[in-house]
Amino acid sequence: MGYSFENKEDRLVVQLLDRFDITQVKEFTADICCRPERHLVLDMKNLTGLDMAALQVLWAIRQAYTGLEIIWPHDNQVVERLELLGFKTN
Amino acid sequence: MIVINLLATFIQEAREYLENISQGLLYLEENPADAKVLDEIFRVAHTLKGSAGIAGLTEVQKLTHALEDVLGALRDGQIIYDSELADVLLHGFDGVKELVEAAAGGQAPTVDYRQLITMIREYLPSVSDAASGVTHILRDVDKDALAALPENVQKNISVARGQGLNIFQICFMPDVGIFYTGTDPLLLVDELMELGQIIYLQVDDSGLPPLCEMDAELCYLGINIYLASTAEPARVEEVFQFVESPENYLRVAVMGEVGQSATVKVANTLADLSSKERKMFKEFLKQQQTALAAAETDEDRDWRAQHITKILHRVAQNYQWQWLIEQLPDLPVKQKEFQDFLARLVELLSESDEQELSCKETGRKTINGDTAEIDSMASPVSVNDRKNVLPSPGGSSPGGKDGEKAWESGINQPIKVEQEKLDRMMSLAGELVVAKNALPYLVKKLEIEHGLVELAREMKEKYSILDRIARDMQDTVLDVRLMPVSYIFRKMPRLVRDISRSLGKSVRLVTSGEETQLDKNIIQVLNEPMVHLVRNALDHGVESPEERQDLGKPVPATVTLRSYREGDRVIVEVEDDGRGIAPDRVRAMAVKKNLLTPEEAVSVSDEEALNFIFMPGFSTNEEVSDLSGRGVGMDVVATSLRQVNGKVRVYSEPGSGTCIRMELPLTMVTSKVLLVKVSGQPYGLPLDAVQETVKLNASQIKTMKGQPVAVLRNELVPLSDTGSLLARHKIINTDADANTGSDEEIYIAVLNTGIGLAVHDLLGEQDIILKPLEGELAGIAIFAGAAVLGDGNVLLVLNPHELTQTGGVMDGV
Repeated sequence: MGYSFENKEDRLVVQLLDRFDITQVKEFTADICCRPERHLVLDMKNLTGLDMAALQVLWAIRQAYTGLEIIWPHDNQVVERLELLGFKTN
Repeated sequence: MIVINLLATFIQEAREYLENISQGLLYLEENPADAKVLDEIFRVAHTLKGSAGIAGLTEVQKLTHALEDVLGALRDGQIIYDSELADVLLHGFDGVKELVEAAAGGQAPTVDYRQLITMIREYLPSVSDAASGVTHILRDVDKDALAALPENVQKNISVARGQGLNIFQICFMPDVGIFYTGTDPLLLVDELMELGQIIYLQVDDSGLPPLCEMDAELCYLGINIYLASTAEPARVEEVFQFVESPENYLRVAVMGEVGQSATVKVANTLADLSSKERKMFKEFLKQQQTALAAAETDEDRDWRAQHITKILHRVAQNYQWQWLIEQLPDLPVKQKEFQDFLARLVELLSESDEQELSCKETGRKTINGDTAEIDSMASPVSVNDRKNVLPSPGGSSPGGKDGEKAWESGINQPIKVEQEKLDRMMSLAGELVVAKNALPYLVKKLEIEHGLVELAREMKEKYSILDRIARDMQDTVLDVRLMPVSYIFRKMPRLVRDISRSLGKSVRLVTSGEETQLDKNIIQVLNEPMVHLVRNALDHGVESPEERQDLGKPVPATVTLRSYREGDRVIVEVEDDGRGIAPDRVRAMAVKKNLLTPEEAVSVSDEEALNFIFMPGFSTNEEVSDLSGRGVGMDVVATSLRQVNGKVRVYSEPGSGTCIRMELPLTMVTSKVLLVKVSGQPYGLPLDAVQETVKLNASQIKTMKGQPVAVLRNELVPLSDTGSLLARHKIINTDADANTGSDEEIYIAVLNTGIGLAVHDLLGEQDIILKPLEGELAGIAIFAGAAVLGDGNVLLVLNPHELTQTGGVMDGV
């Protein structure tokens, strides 16, 4: 469970692993806000679940980073959820 | 990891909650009118549900939610608690337990929680019955919002309406602090999806601050949903029943064929509010006043005031109180004015109360028929103290001095400690005792070998202090490890209930001495034997109701679990008033299994014969049932008890019943051993196993059929030569002539089994910490373990049972 950050060619690659939820969001936002990179790759391929707190962080990330690149989850249920919540289509 | 700790904490708590719920449900079966117990079960189930949400166990949360619905209906008198409903609830919470244990083991759950939910919901009163109960969140459709929907969504809504489906327009703007209550709004979305199809869902992110300014643990998003469903409005509202509070803005409207207008309550003025709503609102306002007054800094006060204002805005919108919206102060609010404003609101509510009272007294009716009906059946909206008091910006507990008091009182509350930590602490305390025991040896050395008498004296003084502290510490740790036997007893009512029902027997369970304490390791070991014994009692011991009636015995039968202290031992008994065990039947079976010759069978006493039931594979029951009869249960009991230096005996009276008596040491931390010397080497013998010690002359030892025996108080005591058994020097010379006239002294430790162990010398008693042998040594059954002595030497502790039964295994070592 958790997340990881990696700098790749001046882009910040954020990997969300397993379940991303309320227990990690505070630390996560503090970590991401310390990063200097302005371009972000949100890699959710290993994401298996999320809650409302996590969803709003994703929402805020989308507002904060222009040219955001998203790698969608492999887990269909998570994709369906993101679609339902309007995150994927919007 | 925070997440893992959170889950571990939840699992620990959930096990306790489930245990309490199970006990409560069983109690309710006997006392269905006890509303307090039902309330408590409901409260615990609700906490369990919330905690599951925080831990991310959504399946647990959903299943518990369904069970909570049934408990709610039960509490409201909509359904009656009978054995069938008890089965449903117990089965449902068993499912929750399985889900929790699966999460604990990191495994996929084997239970189909959806199937369970379906099964549970069948026991709920029909939705239409409950429909009139929860109506006050139903509002008129927001036509503007509907008109603003994308064209394709509007088209889909029309199609769904054409199919006769209800369209629910739901707007949910949770309170910013909703996550702290353990609620994940997305789970509500999941629940709605179970009721129908979500045609449109829009996340309202208008309140979302920039990423780096947001407090990620607060909720800023809202959700607008259009749901097409055949469900009645009340069923949809049920989804939100636990988020229905002034802090959360919730609006549910329905478009369709359901005639909601008759039940929709629109409260436009305070006077139109029900007394319950007024009370709830007043309490809420008072709590906010207290929270505001408790703010310690201006910044904190401003933050709290703004928060309260936002909530009041939501309340006003929710109830469509235009007057309140108009009167609410602009942000940022001025403290004095705001306090006055809150006080005025409370005053107004009180005036409304008085007005209503006065109307009632004068016989005038100001509340319309619809409202009165709704009030009488409205589902309670809980005013949760924790929920309604403002969270402080820094996350600290609000309440100023009251908060401090609460914190102070919390200091003396029990805390949970991981078992491993406790074991480690116990181990360290033991090590300290052993390490301390080395000092007297050093003192002696200083005195004798180095002549440092003064230094030795000073060391002796320090040693006595250290000795006292070490012993106190050990006693304290031992005390911490003690657990009440109730830990096991409390599981038995459920076991007895289920088994007796499956066997069609009527059984009453009586327990006593649940407060008797035992070491936690012994409690753990005792669990399985207790289950076996209770099963056996019900399966083999207790007769069918018809049989008991024919015999003139009372129905129901009684199974008694009893526990009490006897010296430094704890006795646990399982007794039934069933058919008892016939000693002759046991004798016959013992002969059949070649455990006794027919001649021996005649000579053994009834009591001895009965105890053959603890031999491996022994069962007098010809039939093998699902519950017992395979002859493994009693063997397991005896083996388990031996592990903890316990003993088991059976007492039975044919036709009257059976009592299984287990004798257990109070603690396993320290053991007392008798130090004996064999061929110059000290060994330990567990003192529990030794009945007495005697010193004999070699001439007093006789030989019968080639076996050495001694005569003690006119009784023959068979002797075993510990020297031979351990492949050391022989102690007993079996040549009778050689012993004649010999004055060589031989020490005998007579065991509880009646066998005497011959040793070269007796060195005295000692407290030791027995540790199991490891590696290749672990397989040597004649040793119970090893301990470190004060002088640093390792002491091997013998297992007398194995030593005398196997005739020593040193040959194979």
